[in-house]
Formats: sequence, C-alpha cells, structure tokens
Amino acid sequence: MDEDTVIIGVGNPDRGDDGVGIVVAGIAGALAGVPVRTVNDPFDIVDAWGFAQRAIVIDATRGASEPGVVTVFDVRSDSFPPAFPSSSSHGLGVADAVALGRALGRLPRLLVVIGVEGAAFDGEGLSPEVAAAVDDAVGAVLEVMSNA
Amino acid sequence: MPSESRRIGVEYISRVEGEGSLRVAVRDGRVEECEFGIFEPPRFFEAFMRGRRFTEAPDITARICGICPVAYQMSSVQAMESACGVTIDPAIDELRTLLYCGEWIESHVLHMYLLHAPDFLGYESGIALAADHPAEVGRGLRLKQTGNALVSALGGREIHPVSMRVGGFHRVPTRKEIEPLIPRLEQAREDAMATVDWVATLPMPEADRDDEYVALAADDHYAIHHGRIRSTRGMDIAVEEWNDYFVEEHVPRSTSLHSHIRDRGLYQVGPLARFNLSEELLRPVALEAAHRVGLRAPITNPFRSIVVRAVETLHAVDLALDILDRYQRPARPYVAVPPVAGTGHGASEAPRGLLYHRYEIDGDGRIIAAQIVPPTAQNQGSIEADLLHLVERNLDKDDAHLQHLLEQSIRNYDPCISCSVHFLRLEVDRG
Repeated sequence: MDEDTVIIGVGNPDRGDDGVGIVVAGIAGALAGVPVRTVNDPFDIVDAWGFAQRAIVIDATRGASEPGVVTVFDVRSDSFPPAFPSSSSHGLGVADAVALGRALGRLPRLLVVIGVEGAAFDGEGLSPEVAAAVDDAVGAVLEVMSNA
Repeated sequence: MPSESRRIGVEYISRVEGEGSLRVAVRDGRVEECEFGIFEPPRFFEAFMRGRRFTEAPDITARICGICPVAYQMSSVQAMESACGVTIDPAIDELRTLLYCGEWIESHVLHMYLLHAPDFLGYESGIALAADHPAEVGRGLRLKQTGNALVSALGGREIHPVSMRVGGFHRVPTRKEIEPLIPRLEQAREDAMATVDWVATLPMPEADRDDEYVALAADDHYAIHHGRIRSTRGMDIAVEEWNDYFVEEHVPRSTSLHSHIRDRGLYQVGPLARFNLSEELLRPVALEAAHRVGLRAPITNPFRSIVVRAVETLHAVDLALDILDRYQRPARPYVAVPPVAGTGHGASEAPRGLLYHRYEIDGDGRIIAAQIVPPTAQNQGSIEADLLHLVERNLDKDDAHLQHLLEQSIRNYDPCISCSVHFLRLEVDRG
C-alpha cells in the first residue's frame, strides 16, 4: 500500500449505475497505468488509499443533479459536502470514508472524489445517460492526475 | 385522571441492506406494543433458485449478503455435497475454515468498531468515535484489513468471493502466495487481544434475560461449519432434522419469516449462543482472554455480545494462524460431485449466527426446492423480547435515552439492518 497514486472505484456492478465508479476506475487505471481498487465500506476505502500520496475516488451519486452529470470534489481544497449523496447500499459511503480518514490522520495529500449521477440503481449494466458520461468521467480522472 | 400514553415509533429508512422499524406503545405504565418490523422487500431467492444447476447455488446465494457471503457459500456447498453423498478432502475442508475465519474477522471488527462501540461510548457514529479514539479505531482498521486480505487470498476477492465451489475450491493458493499473511496475522493477534481488553471496559447496560441459545456445536472444536445443532436447553439434533424442530412463519409486521422452536418458542443464535455452548473449546489464547475479562458461560446479557465478538475474533485469528503455519498446497482443489437426486442440508455459523440451507435436487442436478434460514430471521423474536424487557425496566428514562438504549439493543444482534438503524428517526406521541 505504498503506491504514489491509486484510483478507487466504489460501487456494485450488479446494481445498475451504482457500478459506474468501477467502470470509470478500470478504464482510467488502464490508460494511466495506475493501480485500481474496488471497494465498499469506509474502512475499506481508507484502506484502499492506504498511504498513497494521491488518491482519486469515483462513486455514483444519487439525487445530486441530472443523470450523467460528473462532479469533481477536491477534498483538500474544497469543502467536501458532509452528506455526499453516495449511492452506497450500506449507508456508509465516501463521505464517511473521508471523515474517517481525517479522524485517523490518514488522508492522502491529494484526494479527489469524482461523482457521476446515476439514473437507475437496479439491474445489470449502466443506463444510457450514465454510459454516455463514462468518457467524461475518465477524462476528469486523467485531468486530475495531470494537474497534480 | 387521564391515562398517560407514550408511543415510540421509528418508521423507515430506505436502504437496500435492510429496512426495519421499531414501534413501542406504553399506556399507564404498561407496555402495550413492542414490535421490531422488517419491511425490506422480499427477494425471492428461494424461488428463483428453482430450475438452476446445483453447482450455481454457492454463487447465487453469496449475493444475499455482502457482509457474510462465505457463510452462504459454505452452507450451500455443504448441502449440495451432502445431497450427492460426497465427502471433500480434509485439507480442502480446512482451507474453507480458513476462509471462514477471514469472514468472522472482517464482519466482527466492522460491527464492533464502526457500528456498536459508538453506542456504548455515546458517539453518534464510528467516525465520531475515531476522532476521539484514533488509536483504537486505527487498530480496528488494521484488523479488518487482515480479515479482508485473508478472504481475498482464498476467495479471489474481498467481497463476494468467487473461489468456492461444490466439491472444494476452483483454485487453491500456493504456500508462497499465502505466506505474507502470517506476519499480518501475528500483528492481528496482538490487535485482537487488545480489542478484547478494550471492549471489556465499555459500560454495559443491565439486561440479563435468559433465552434458549442455539448454535452448531461439536465435541472437539468451537464449531464454525461442522457439528450438530445444540441448544442450552438440551436440544441435540443433526442438521438434517432442522424442520422437525424449527418452524418458520409469517407475521404481519415483517417480510422476513420469524422462526421458533416447535412447541417451545423463542430462541436466539449468534455469538452468545456459540459461546454459551462451546466456551471451553475456544482456542486457549481466546479462552484465557475471555476469562481475563470476566467472561464465562452462561452469558445472558445481550449487550455483552460485543465482548464475545472480540473473543471470537481472537479465536479466528489464532485458528487462521495455526492453519496457515501448517499449510501445504492440497494435491487437488476439488473432488468431482456428480449430481444425485435427493435432499441435502447444510449449516454453518455466520458471524451473526446459525445459517441453515436445504435443497432438493433432481438426477440432472436441477434445484427443485430451496430453503434458506438466515440468522437475523431467527433472532427477530428475541430482539423483540429484549426490547420489551428493556422498555419495562426503563420507563423512567426520557424518550431520547430510551430510543438510544433500544437501538443499541437491536445492534447487539448485528442484524443486517444494523447500518439502517443507525439513522432511525424517532416519533413520540404522548397521547
């Protein structure tokens, strides 16, 4: 867990658009040659970034905007919304991981969360609106990495 | 004088993992209503298993729970192996125990540190707890990582592992692959010991209520996936006899079936049941830790389940180390299991209690019928009995205190809706 940079996809690929984080993380990781992790509860998200200097977390959002809208939060410089509308089915999501990491003194130097608003959270595969947003989200990941 | 009434209603939280509610009504100092409802939509797993191949059961049922998929896989593969009359290789069976240890560690640690300990110390969440107790929560994080690593090494991935199959595993790891786990588990043993000592200091509400405790139990080890079904009131039956002794029934307030012992009534499964039935069979290091903090069977205060979970975590870590130390890659990962028409039963101890599966398959290996009895369904009656017991003894407390106590009490059972009840909303109608 001592990589410089990690990309973390959060979600469940068998729950419709909830899987978008995993799809985007996989593509961006392959393009950038950066390790990818897929996780769920906040303990595991904090574990996934470990002691990396830079971490980019991609998760589906629910109820934040129109389906397919990609939102980028720089956790260190923006105020991270305390109730990041994660689509996690476990009630514990990215906002909790950020809060937990902060409480434990375990936030990466650069931590960016990229949210992709979902349309449908059941069934297999992404909805058309969200599938169309994957390229934008991958682009957002690569842009964050090139600017960091 | 007008009658005085109090109503505590916790209505709804939308969450896929579980949707539950709590309703308590008190009239003139008497509890009139005390219901723990589960209204999670039915998922029909038992119905859609029909017609599927018997070999698909472990992968389908694993999807029932993201926290204890190994338990579902284990109960289903064992049921299928028993239906087909196949005995798996002892080395493979031991590897399954090792995988199960990983699940106990992951699940128990998540529950203790993030979901339950905050209740005892007056924090609203595990994150708030972490801010004031970073060393303790950091230790929990490290422990859980080791559980995850164990599941990942044997199961192929941390959540919904994919390696187990009817007859064994699809693939078994080499010694070289699993050796890096040994130093991590040695650290985990220290962390688990410290966890026992820490949770034993938590302030325990008084709530002793004797119950019939039911668990898988064996004569020579602390049972996880082998043994007979035994109870603290003398039941001692083979897994195959489940339906002769237990009854599942619908109750209006719940989409989950309620279970009881035929002609007898309530019972509970889980850590207290395992400990009360098999205390002396814990690994010596875990038994010693239990006794050091004053834990001795019978434990009838459900709030002390957090201490038993810590002891079981230590047991699982120590057992995993023992298996890893001796590990040599088994000669073959699985034995062939040709389908045989018949009925198979499987039971194992999920972190939150006994999980029973029963399947009927035909000669082509198609599933004709499936029955799955999860621990949370079995515990619903006891959860309600605890709530009633607590309300009756704490009527002098204001609604906020009472609600906190009741939610904490529900979490004693680590039900799969526990993450939901962290956000219960309280409505009080004083009539």
